[in-house]
Amino acid sequence: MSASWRRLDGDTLLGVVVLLVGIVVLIAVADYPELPGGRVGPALFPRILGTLAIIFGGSLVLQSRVGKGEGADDTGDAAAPTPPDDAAPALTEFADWRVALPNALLVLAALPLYILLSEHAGFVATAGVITLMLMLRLGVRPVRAFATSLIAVLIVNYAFGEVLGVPLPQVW
Amino acid sequence: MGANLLEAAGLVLDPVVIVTIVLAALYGLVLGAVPGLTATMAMALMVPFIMFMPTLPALAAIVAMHAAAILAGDIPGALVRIPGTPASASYVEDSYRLTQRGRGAEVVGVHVIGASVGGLAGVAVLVVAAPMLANVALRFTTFEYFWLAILGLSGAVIISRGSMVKGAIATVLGLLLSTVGFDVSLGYPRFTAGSPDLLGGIGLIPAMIGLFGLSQVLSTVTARIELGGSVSVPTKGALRAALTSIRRYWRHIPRSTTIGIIVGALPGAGPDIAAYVSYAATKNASKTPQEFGKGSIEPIVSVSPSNNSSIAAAWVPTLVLGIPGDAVTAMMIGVLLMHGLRPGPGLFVSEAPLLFSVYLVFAIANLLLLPIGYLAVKASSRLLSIPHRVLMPIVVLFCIVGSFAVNSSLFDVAVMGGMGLLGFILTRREVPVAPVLLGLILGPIIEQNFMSSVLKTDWQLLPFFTRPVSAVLALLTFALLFAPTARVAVRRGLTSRGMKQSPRPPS
Repeated sequence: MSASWRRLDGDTLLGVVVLLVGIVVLIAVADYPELPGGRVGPALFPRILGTLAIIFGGSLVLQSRVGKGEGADDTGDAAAPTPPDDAAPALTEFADWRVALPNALLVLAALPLYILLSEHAGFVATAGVITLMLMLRLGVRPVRAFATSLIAVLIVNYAFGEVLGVPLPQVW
Repeated sequence: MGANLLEAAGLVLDPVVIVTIVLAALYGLVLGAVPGLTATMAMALMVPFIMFMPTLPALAAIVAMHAAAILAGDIPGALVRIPGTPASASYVEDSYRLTQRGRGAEVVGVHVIGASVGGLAGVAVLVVAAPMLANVALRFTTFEYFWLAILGLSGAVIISRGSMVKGAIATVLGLLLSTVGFDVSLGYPRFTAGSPDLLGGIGLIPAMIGLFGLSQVLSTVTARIELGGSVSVPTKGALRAALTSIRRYWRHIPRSTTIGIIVGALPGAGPDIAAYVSYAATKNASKTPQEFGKGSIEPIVSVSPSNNSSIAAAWVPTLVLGIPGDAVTAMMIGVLLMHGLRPGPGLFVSEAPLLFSVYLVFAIANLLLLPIGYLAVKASSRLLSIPHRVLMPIVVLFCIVGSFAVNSSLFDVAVMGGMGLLGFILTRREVPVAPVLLGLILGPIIEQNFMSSVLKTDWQLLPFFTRPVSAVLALLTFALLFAPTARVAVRRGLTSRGMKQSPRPPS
């Protein structure tokens, strides 16, 4: 039961967020200019979508509050088990959050780090540090982590920078 | 036709194309066989590379990669009960248990032959159906395209697995994201928060690398994963045993292949859903459904061709209408646009030799599956031993460089990150991610065609319903969306092909 409680909560939250997104969109497009003749122009499409977001977000909240009773015709009746789209089915269970959260945060932190540093420190150094950092965090032994990230970064640098001609930032 | 074919053969026999096919197939094999790396992710990471290639090798790479990845995903399922890609998930219980009982070689043989047969059937449909559809589509105007895009989105929501509300939410989010930037009617900047980087809208390629690449990394590093020890499967005698099983259950194959082709051609649904639907249909038709999931070769014979047959079928609406059939073809639209090709019926007139070459590549790639399958078995035990902790940081590296490569813009890296986070959150809540991308692609098509239609007719909405083809498409859309009976029939029809069975109890 506790597991299904967690599930309900997450869906409610998602529904509320989608609903709020819809409201924000409606407010944001309120002062968009009109087409000549007083017809609604740039605001039309977002306005429809904002309304739909409110409807579907609200439906999700209702659905997860009411629970997965037999009345819910939207839960799908495919006989086969249904893991989430595009996720490998082996990955459905969360690790301990004390492991999962820092892992996820570090992956996400890698991007601003790259954006801020790459133009000053160059591609090889920045990408190398990021890859090394991630490997160490995920538990690869230091020597192996260092060697693997160095090789990976040099290959990527050559393939994209030299072969494909992408202007990766270089400092030398 | 003959001249086209000859010219196409000449184009395909270019060593560059052949080498690209082989390399892309190997790449697909590796990413498909490693659990946690999916075919969609393989595509997202490959896009920055093939953008810089000439058009034919680029398309050939997509074809070969996808076919190989979907087949290779079957192998770790049989070996360690972890499907390599979602498309192999439906029958993993059966294939693993059969391997445990020493019938691994037979299972793998069936997978390989089935994939090849299904793939070739899909190609045949692509060759025949696409030009026919293109002929009809040449007469379509903005009204029809508006309805087609709407129909595509509705189909994606209806067919998406799990909650339909969640599918709808994913679609709306994608559509909303597509409105960022200059609008089509006045060029008014929408939702840009004053940032000049957003005026052109959200980049398709960074978005898909985020949605399918980075989000998968986030899912993996936060998941509890157990990878079983490496097992190897003997390949001796596989062919004979496989052929025996196939002969026994061949009657399922036409149905599963047809399902695969239909699901593949429907927007937003790809090999994974094709496999699930075929599995359910096979179970319904089987004399021994109680064996399913406990190590039966019957669903493996039946479903193996299904996911591969959907691959080529997904190209039909993509090429003819610009409405992608699955996540990989959705990304392919980005590649086509990069090469200056706008998907649509005109393509079949102006680019006929190129399209014939693509058909040939499809045929070659599917025949290539036979040796690829053998290689996949041999390589799998090694691939399965590559730990995620080494792999995932490298994937992050590719995501960063890949999203940067398109426009050499660091802003695109940030877009990729944001979309990665979005994809991850949605995946955790079991919201399908593919409709987000579909919305992002179809949003501008819907809005542009609607706006130019109403400007043409001075806001008369009637032609949307009175033009003959428009009317049919509108009717289809409303039937799909609003008539609950139609909705049920579509689902039942797909899962059971006939309604003799009473509704199944929820399992």
